[in-house]
Amino acid sequence: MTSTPPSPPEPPRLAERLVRELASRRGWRDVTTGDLREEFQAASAERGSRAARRWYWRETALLFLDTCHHLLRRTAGAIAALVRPPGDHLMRTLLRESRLAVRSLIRQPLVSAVVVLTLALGLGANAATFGWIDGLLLHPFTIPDVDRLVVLSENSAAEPFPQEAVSPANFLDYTREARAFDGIAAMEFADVTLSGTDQPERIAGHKVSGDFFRILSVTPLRGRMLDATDDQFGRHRQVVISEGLWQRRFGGDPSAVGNTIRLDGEPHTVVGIAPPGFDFPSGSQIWAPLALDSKAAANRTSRYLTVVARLRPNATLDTAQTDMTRVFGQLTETHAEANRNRQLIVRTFTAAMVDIGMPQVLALWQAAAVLVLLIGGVNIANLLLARGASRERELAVRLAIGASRWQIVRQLLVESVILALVATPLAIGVAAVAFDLVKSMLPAELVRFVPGWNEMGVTWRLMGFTLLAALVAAVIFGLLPALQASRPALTVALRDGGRSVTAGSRRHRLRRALVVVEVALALPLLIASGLAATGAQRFVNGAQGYDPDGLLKLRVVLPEATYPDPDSQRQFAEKLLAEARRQPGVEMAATTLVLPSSSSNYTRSFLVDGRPTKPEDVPRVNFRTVSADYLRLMRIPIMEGRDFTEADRQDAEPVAIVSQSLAKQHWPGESALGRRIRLGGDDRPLTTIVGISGDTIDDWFINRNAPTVYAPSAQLPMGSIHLVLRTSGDPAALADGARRALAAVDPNQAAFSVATMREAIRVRTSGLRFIGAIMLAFGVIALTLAAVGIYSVMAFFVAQRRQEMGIRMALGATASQVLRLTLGHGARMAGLGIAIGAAAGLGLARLMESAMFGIVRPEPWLFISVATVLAACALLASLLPARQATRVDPIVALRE
Amino acid sequence: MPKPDHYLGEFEHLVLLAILQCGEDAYTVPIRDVLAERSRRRVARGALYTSLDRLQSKGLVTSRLGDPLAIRGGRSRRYFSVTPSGLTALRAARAAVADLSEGLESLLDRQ
Repeated sequence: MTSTPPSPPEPPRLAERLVRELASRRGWRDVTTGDLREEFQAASAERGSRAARRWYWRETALLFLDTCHHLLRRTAGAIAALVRPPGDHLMRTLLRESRLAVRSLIRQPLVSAVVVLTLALGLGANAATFGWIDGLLLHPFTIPDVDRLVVLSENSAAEPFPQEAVSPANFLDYTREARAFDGIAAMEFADVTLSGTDQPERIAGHKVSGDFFRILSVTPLRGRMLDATDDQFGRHRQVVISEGLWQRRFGGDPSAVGNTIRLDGEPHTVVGIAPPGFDFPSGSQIWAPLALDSKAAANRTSRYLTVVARLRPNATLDTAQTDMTRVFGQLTETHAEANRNRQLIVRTFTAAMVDIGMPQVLALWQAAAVLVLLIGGVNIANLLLARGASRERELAVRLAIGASRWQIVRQLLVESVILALVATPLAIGVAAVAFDLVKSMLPAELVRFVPGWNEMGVTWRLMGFTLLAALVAAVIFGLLPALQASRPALTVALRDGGRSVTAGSRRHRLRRALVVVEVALALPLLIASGLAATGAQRFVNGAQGYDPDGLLKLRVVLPEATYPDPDSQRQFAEKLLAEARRQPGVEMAATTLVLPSSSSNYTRSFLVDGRPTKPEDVPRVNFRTVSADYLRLMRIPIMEGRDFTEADRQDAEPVAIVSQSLAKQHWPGESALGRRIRLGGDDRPLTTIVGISGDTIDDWFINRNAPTVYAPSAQLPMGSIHLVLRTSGDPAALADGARRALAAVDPNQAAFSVATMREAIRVRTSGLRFIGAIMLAFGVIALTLAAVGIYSVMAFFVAQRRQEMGIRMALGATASQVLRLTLGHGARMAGLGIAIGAAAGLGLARLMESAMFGIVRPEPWLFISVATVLAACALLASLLPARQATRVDPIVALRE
Repeated sequence: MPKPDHYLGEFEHLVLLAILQCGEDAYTVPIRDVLAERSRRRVARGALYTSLDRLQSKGLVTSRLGDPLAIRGGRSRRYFSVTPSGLTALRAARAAVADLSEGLESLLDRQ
């Protein structure tokens, strides 16, 4: 192998460019960039590259401030001498202008308040999405030097999403062969039942290999963390527990270290307490050694390990990828069968651990938030235009006595900047409220899988972003009205006291155009929120393929130590069913390996007898072992053939029921009945298909109407069991009975995921409902802002044309004619906006289709109804001013 | 004692001393480090460069470029040394401080 020489760590590229730019203004470019590089190398050797990069950015900011200061000082004198009488200082001018601005803003408190509130809403929406992106996507982990961590995955082209999955034997080879890493660690999902204290409890946990805590730089709160000496089969009954579990189960007693606890029925020694807040991966409360036994250590086909590695000081993502491609290349030769059609991908820790789909959803929200801000901004521009019109005289006087246009524009811009500065803390408040609301929306069962969720909140980055966005918005939305207001038709404005039809017409055209833009922006946003909300609704309340009402579920996972063989597992399930049926209110009881809307899934490879398939083409299908009356209880229909019966016992012929989707996929146009299949490998018994069932929605995300095989649990007992109970009463009332039934069979087993089926669906779809709710909130804000915008323009339009209306009515126009004139005006603006917005709406709907995994269906009726709602709001908003126009008293209007 | 051509600003004074403290190795990074460390204050990069520029244009220091270095992304270090008139200015400043401090030892030497 050829090894590339280690390249020194690079400073952030963007920052370095900024530095070069800043330094070149003062003729010290090479020395500055060189110095900073040199100091950066020293800092990264000393404090790690993450800290060094932060340091570099800080230095860049300081340099920027320094340069600003320098330029300001150098130019202030020159400008002051040119523009102002000597003795007048730039700062003093700015202060005076600010005072002036504040005074004029206070003079029109309503307008100022509306502008501030609109800005606060728009900026708040953006601050919140920035916070989500920052907290969930860019900085979800608080692990030190997380940018030096990478995740390895053995991907096959057939898998729709990259998964962090590696087989144990391959993992062991990587630890031996890889050269780019300081350490490699594997982890395996391993929730456990903690028993032996007061009540058995199911606890989130992982098995981790020896280097795990070392490469994540975790230092114990008490005792010690696990290390390589624990990671040996036979010496592995030692665990580290989380600080939270320690407080909860041991009351924070220091002597808990060294104590023995029972996990899945086996004694384990607590050797250490993890530091507060550490719950990686996926909300783990307990960590046990991975300790692969000889059988697992030879396994190359089951990819159930997540593998994390820390880069050597001089390695980069690229060199690591090169190195691992080499190692994996060797494996595809020595173990071709197991590693065929796969490649090894090295990704950054943050990129790999972020939830699938999160980037798309966040991009969607950010787009929506920007739209809200734009709509709000258009409103503000509109209000400021109106304000400019009413101040025409004041500005005309200032121009007439010698103020330059630039001075007027500057004065007006200072006003909008002050408004933005007032709005900024409010916007941060809006974001903080949004974070709190949002945090309460996701249930704990899901939060553990969303890294960064609990840390989400107001940060310095967020405040800086909001301030910056506020200033940019103030300048953009303030500039147009300022330019417009600073060029009044002087003579006209001064002569007729600002009451004119002609002078305002250009300004009015501008305002109408802004309303059209606003409607055109609001429509796509409304379409998007309608799509998200209806999509979510469909999966929560729509057809599930079974009847979710009147069901209660309970899950139990039998430990291998106490239930080592199929017979003991079968007996347990039978006893559990018998006990459950005895509980009051229970009308039917059944067991299954996997229930729809639960967090786990089991799949098996699926082979059709007499149809040879290449190993890499063997499909995996959903696999559920169920008790005889499970399908009847769930009301999953049998479309063809028969249901399971009590006669499908251990010694009877192996049988299976397949879902419609599976039958269609493998026997298109033919009947699947009577076909023979093997589940889980060539060595498994031939199984006959005796029935075809309806499809179910197991998970809205990636498991809808998926090919599924059911097998009788009497023939294939499993240690993981969902108990489902059906009642005609309130299913929640069965919970105690279900727990009692379990305790009667084995008091050492923990009942977990006890919930009604409706509740399970609610939890399972909460991510989706959450997306829908956020989009709906954006939609409502946008609609409100658009309506306010139309109202203000129409009100202004009517006020400006009072005289004209008066003349029309004096000449015999009826109230309804005037009403039609005004309404028609509003309708034209809305219609044009809707026509333009519809095109943008189509584009956004496409984006959402891909962002939301096909659960969104852009149906024509939705487009039409959203456009109707928007048009109705627009008409309503112009109706009020229009009615006012009809009440104009001709005499009064003419005399004004 | 020869009369200096220039009087030193406080910061310039400190920069000249820092250059001398660094000896052979007097380029911008250690100069700034020594300044920050011994004068116990933050030294803005820009302020140091500006001051060095000014000292050079007054003829109190000279500078030369070193070889390009990989650690600096292929750029050179700029090494500074104090010229004889720089030394003269330092001595004059020191003498002025010493003169003005005379008789004030009991006040100034107190911790």
